[in-house]
Amino acid sequence: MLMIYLSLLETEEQKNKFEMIYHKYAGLMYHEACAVTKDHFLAEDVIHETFLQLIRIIDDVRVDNSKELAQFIKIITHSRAVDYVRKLDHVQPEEDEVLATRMAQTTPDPETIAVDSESFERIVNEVMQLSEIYRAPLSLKIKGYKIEEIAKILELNSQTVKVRLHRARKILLASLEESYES
Amino acid sequence: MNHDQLQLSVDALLALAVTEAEAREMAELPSLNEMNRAFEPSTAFQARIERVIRKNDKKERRRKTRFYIKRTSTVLAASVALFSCVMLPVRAVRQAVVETFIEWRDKFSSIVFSSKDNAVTELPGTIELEYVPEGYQLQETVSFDRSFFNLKYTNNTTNYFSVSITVIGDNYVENVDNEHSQYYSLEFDGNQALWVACQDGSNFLIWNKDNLAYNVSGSLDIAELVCIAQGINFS
Repeated sequence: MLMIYLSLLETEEQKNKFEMIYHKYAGLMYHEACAVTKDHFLAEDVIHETFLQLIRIIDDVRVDNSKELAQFIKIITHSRAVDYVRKLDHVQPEEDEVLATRMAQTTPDPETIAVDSESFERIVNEVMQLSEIYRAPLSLKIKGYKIEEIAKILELNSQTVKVRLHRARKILLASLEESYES
Repeated sequence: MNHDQLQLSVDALLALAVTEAEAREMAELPSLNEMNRAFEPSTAFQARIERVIRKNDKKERRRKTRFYIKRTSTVLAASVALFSCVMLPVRAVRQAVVETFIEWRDKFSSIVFSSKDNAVTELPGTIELEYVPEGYQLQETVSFDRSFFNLKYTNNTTNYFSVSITVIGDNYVENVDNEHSQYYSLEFDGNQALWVACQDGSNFLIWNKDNLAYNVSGSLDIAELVCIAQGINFS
């Protein structure tokens, strides 16, 4: 199966990079896809789609740091799996619902915030529960990817990436405000 | 409970929280070797991939033919629009420091504004709209690094429109569908704009002025979008 994917790549460098990712992280991709789809055959479809996506963005994939690469592979597989399940279930993206409930629209962001261990724990949990459409661009931004790179990786418009980053920030800050109020 | 507090910038706090969340999730996973051992693609899957890739090759060849026909006609339209800019008065030509390109890709086009003048690094203010169609309310305001500003309006149904203004910087890229859309050149108030009419009834109006990229889009007809565009001001 690897040979089929390699035939879609042009240079030796691209093929070597893809081959390394395939051998090292295919299992991680399968594990992540199964966690979302709960079905072996759907997970295979997700992996296939993710491999095709990796082929499209292979030049932008950073392989220097194996820990960050593993997280990157996990992010894009998870994102692809969520989109796949959503399409199968004909579910609309949840952006507008989140907007209606969690946004602090009028107050500007503070420059600094005082954080203790309890509020930090809360915000970490909030990140873990953050919707995939916000979490994926936020994770990639923190890893140092530029807006245009994130747009290419997640197959979004760069304006959509900026909007989702803005919303992710607002949701997490709103959660922190709630924790201080309580 | 630990009451010791740390003063952090918002960006630093979010970076720490995301990194911590990811580290915890990765720690809960089995080892890479265990996960690789558990992954055994079925032979049916392998056969399916080969069929999909062969089918994609045929589809790709057919799409390329349609793609080149469509690109030729749209490049002609864009060339007319750019050529008209050259025919403007000399003062306007000297001010045209932004070049416009359309890059055609598989399912979308990239509208690229490339600027040689990096003097503008921030938006001059927040956007105000002189004209808002009746029944529409402001739903969301997004600003990012003082280089991007977006307003989104909706009415009580699924109709919406959005106004975005972005500092071009070195370049600005707007990706728009080209599989199910028609492209036209349009002029209003001395601005040469690209009008993208989509099959689903939505429209995009994209242009640049004073090193800023403008995008007015939504489910309204083009006449309404032009009225909105004409009423954009900065406060």
